[in-house]
Amino acid sequence: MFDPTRYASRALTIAAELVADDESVDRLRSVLQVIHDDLTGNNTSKQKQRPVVREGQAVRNDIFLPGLLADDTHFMRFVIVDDKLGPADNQLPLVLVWESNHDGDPDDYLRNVLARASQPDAVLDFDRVFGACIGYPAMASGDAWVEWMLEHSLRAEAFYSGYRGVPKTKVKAAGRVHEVIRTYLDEHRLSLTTRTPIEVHDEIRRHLESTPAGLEPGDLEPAVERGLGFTLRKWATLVLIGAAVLLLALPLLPLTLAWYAVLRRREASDKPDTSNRAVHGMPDLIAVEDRIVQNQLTHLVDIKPGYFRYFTQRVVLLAIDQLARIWFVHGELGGISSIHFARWVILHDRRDVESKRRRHRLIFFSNYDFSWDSYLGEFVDRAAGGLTAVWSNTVGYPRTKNLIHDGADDEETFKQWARDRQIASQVWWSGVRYSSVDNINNDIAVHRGAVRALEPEDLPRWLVRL
Amino acid sequence: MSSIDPEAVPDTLDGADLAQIQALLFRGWARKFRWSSFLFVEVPDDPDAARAWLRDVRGDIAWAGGPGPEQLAVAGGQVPGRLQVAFTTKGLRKLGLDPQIVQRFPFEAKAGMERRARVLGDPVDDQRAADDLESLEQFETNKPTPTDWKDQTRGGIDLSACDAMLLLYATTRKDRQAIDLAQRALIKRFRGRPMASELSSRWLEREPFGFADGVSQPAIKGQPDATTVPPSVNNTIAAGELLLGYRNEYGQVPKSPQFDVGHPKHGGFDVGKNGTFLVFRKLEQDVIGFWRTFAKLGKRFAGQRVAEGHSVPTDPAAAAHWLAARAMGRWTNGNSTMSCPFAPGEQRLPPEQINAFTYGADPHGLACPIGSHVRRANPRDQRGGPESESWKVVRRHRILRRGRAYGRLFDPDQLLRKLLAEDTITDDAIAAHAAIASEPEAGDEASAEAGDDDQTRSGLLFVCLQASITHGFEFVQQIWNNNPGFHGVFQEPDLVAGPGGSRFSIPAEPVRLRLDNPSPVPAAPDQDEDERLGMPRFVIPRGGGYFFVPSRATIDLLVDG
Repeated sequence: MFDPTRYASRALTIAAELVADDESVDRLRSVLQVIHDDLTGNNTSKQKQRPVVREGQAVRNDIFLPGLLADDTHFMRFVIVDDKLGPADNQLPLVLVWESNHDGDPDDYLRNVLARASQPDAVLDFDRVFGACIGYPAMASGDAWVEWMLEHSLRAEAFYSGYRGVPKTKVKAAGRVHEVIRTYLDEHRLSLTTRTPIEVHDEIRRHLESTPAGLEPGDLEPAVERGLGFTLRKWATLVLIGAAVLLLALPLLPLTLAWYAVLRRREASDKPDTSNRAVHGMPDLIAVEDRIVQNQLTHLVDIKPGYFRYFTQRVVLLAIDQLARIWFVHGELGGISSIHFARWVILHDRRDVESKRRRHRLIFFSNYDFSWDSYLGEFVDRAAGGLTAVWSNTVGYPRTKNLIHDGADDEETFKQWARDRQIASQVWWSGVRYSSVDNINNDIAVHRGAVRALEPEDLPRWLVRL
Repeated sequence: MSSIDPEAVPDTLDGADLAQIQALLFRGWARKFRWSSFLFVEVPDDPDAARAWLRDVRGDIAWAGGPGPEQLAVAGGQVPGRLQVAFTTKGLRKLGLDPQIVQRFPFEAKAGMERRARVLGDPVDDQRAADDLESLEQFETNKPTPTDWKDQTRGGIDLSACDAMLLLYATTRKDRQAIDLAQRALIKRFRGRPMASELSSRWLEREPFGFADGVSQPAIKGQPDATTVPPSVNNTIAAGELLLGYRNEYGQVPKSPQFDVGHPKHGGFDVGKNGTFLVFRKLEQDVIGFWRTFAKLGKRFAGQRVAEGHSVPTDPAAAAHWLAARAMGRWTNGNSTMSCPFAPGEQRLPPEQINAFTYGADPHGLACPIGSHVRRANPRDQRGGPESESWKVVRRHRILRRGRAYGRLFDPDQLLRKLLAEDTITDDAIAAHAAIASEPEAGDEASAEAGDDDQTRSGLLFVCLQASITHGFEFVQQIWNNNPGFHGVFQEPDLVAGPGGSRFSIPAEPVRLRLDNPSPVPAAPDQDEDERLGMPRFVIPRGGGYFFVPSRATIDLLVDG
């Protein structure tokens, strides 16, 4: 059954190998730096934008990002995935990643980007960024560009969204509607205090319908709510999982026990990191943090070698992905309500080398609210088990027990491990820089309640949201 | 780092440890020693001279386990008093602590307060800060950032060069002056340099805006004779939250700077154990501006309905109090708006009741706004998730406050009366009328000639203690108090102590009130309307620093090598 909410707030991860040529990579770095500087000027909200003039390389950011991506992109980043922590005798090539949290089918999304990019001046920028990738066709090649992008897109093994199913246009519309209501209440509170909740709600609806300043056409259409399609899918998934467990539990019991035995042996012999670097002493990482409501994290780590951990890793991510689709759809993931978007992607090692030299890497992208410390701290406080289940399969993770125990409970060691393996994101853009996940979900609820009649018992709950 | 089994390390204080811990952990001396001076010094460059100075100071330090000196030496005799000492990492290095061990101190302790400006919401020059971080080799000098927060004409202090902080406590103003002078003379005698002496006003158990302070403080597990009121379970935290060397609320033993086991002389010695980190901040408070703003808002909102059968009081002064109590989360008398939602109550609640409240009954902040100062600083059972989870999280971010007020003090009621009566009255005229005169005390004859403390400004000499500054002060400041999105609020940081520039919502029925600046600056071209209508800033940082408060054993190590 058609479920429109499946086509909003999705994950696109394009990863392409860079040419092994220092000069091109340096050029790419400086292009990304220019974009970053330009965005930082924007991102530090009320600061004056710094002029960007760098040897004729000025990027017209107003075209590059807001113009190209604003309507259907929530967040995006460019990251050069290097291999600084990898073994010197087994280095992997540099990879450029474009992480985008977007609406619509990836094919349509890319075509939209392409269409907007074909306006004069705009094309060059994407080309300049990906130009250093092997086999990149210029945007001018049209369909071939879209195909190349899709060929290089990686599936998110697990993807979570704090407002899954709500397109960017509706996030923005909800924000505008709420702002119009705020202004209305400031101006009319005195006259509203003598009215009943129903009357207040009616007044607000009437005001919104009077085309007040601050609204755009179509703003009174709130985001579609999850309907029957979602519910059916949710229960079908649950039933399927339940049936699989019932049917397979007994036949697979010996296998499960064997798996567990191997796991415990591996856990005993794993070698956790013993790094002692300063968690907050990493200039390139902290210099760009804490500028707007959100921060970002790009985290890269090798999956422990061998099939056992690789298999376990994929099963855990599959489980999280399913939970994120059907269970954690109300703005919180295991009690954490500060994640806009998060995804785990595996960078498979497709080199033609013997299997024990093969290095599959797990990369984690997150767009979250507030500080690094509070974000990682929330993981430890509220979701240490889930976190440990994912990352205990990767190299250097603090010692674990039974896949989910210990590990992230050791807050200091966990944060150390996480920070050590964080890589700098050269460009990061937030399309909602004033709003936390809680703010956005509140706006959405305000929006939905503002354009329809509410039951008397729902009114007080709606009114305290304003 | 050696791996220790956290289970083997206690999270409860043992009586035997007390002799190792500076008394400040358990005593604020608010009643016994009402006058204090925080003296900042540069120790001599010669490590031998620095150690000799510390040897002299050592005998005066008060320890939690006693016996400590009851008297402090001053010119020509002795007076009752208390002394505590804390060091910057630079100071520890100058005292000859192995640089390798100094490097093992936490990053933020070495970086100092100014490099954490963005985290703390302090004014910061971004480019300068970035360059500064890029070039950091040693994180031990508090390099100043080019901002005006240390403007000396406004009482700002520059602690860039500071090595040590002496916390001096006395029963009278005269004694305080004598103790301060004696310590200044002492450091000079060893060719060190006394810097600022930050003098408190007499402690009246109120912060300068006039609100009762120190109502909610955590107690440490195993703490001896904490207070007369037994602290609740949720207010009693693992020793490792406030002291190094103990298990904390994560069930872990945080890293502590210690010698390698193989060190020839100090093998395995834990420099951090029984020590704590101290944050000092001089916070100027615009007391007149605060009440002037609330007086105007009181007039505007007087009589507005806020709940079934309840309104903001019609009397403008009472209305100002009502609104200020919403911003603060408690009334000036210290009663929470949870316990006394609509009026302050006849009198301050008794000690066993005043802190015995939770926010569970008020998830939307109708009695105590979610964004109010005290609810942010200690969200209790309402930090998200089930109550027990919320408490668990909150217990991981508690700090122990040991601050003192400075400058002239006001009676808020007198201030309000004056402000409401004369709309255009100047700050100076109000100050002359409404400041509380420092009443002379027995043995305080010298107060008239002292002329030592600042009587033109007011504020807080904020001091707090915690085992980790990132988990403690910085977290509370950044994630709770200054966070414009705290717990779902939208673009509204703490109104009382935050950066200003935002409006402030007070949940009410049928719809919320929202405070904006009653005296907005005239609109400038291309100025944001939100910025123009944002509330003023009432608290301005005027300098500060991060310090380490060592144990007796560590002081002995510094002195005796």
